[in-house]
Amino acid sequence: MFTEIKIVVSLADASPVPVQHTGNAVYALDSEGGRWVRKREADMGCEGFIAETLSWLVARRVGAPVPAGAVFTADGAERSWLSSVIPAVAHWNAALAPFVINTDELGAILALDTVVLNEDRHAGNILLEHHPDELHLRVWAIDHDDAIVGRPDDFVARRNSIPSARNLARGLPIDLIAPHAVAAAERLRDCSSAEIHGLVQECCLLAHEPRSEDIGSVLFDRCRTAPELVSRYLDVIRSSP
Amino acid sequence: MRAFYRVVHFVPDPFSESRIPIAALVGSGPEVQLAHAKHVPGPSCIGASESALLKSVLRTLSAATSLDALPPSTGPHGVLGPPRSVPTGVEDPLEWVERFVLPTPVSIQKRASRERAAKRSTVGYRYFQTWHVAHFVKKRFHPEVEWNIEDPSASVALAPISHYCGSDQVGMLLMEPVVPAPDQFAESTQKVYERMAAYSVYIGHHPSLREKNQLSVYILPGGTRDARHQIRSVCSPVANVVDTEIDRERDGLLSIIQHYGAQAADQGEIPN
Repeated sequence: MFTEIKIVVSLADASPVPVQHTGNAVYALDSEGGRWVRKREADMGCEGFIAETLSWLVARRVGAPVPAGAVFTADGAERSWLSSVIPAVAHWNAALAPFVINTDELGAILALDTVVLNEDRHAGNILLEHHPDELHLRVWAIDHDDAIVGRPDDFVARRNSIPSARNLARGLPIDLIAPHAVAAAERLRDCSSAEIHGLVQECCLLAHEPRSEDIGSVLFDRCRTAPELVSRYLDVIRSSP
Repeated sequence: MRAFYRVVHFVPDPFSESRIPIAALVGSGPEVQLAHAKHVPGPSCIGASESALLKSVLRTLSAATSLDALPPSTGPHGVLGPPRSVPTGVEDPLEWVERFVLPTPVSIQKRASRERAAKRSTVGYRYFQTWHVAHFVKKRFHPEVEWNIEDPSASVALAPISHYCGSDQVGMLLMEPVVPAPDQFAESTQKVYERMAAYSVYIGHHPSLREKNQLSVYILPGGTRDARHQIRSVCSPVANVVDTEIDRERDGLLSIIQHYGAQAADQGEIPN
């Protein structure tokens, strides 16, 4: 069914992820030794599951750096979203902003958050990986289960709005990443209706969400106007205290 | 039948609660096998007596017959982690645990990190790279070379400056970074102050140099507000201080670097 998201059929839980506000996320290993962070649909709800899967698919189109993703289905019953473990990471720290090597992708994260209406990009949802050392850090975007794209009623109601920057991680180098955020938005603008609706249909089929058409319609509209939405979001960020 | 495992941790000191994975008990049905970590820390890491104790604990594990408890002879320095399941479909649970759960030399090497902190000048240059001005910035200013002076006292009194831009024709900006990290900033602030003070005095006695050379101390992001304030207080009498966390000051520094760099390029200087 999925063309991009890997399906994992054999998984074993390890320890809980020892970070606040991760819900009941646990580390898990698959039969081939793949290391994942597992979030059960039972814990984050159907909305969270859709938000994670859809945001991941949109992230890959916009160029936002997200870990490899997968879905685990235990005999077709319980579903979980899997996010590949990035080893040896810390969370976003404004003091380390000058050492980010993928500022273009950091900009794409803002574009992603704009389009899927993710208002939860706090410091804990931006990972910093030594690549290869403390002066060269690779940024990763994680945890999209709160993105409004997973809640059809709210997503439709906020068709033309931009995310709130209230929770946004402090110290993002906006002047550096703004051009890349706009460039990423232009990539989304160029996505076709068929492509966007196709992504949404696949996620909604898996989650048994019937409102695929509504979500797809709004998401496509937001992709088409992504450059303007991103510009507005950047203005809000710049004017935030 | 589903297989399970429990990691065995060596506890060198129960009060610090440090734990080192050294093995695992792997059970499938009534049979219990012992998986060995391919890498355990040696005496140089944990101490000679602790290393000997670790080996002693390892020897006792071969007597394990159940996943529920370690052999009594293991003692208090061996503890069991919680039971975990092996994914279904794994044909050799023992090999799977040794390869994917327990530490291996490769996984340790990949996680090895340098012990020494990066040099102040390296961190500063990295900052210029991020802001796309590094191609205008040169490393290690030597006054006897760049100022083309023959005064031997200059090279004695004036230590090299970490970064500079511009040229003798258009003028130069000499820059020293300070990293405001708690464990570094006091010593590096003193060093930078002394270096810039020497240049400030020398330039003060040579009017021709005064017109064309600027001294700048730039404070990299991070640290406490107090630390940043201290750095500014100490260095401002001898150099222009730029706090890169203040957008206006940061942009000002970057503009000057670009200005000097462009002017130098017009004079035929090739950027980095």
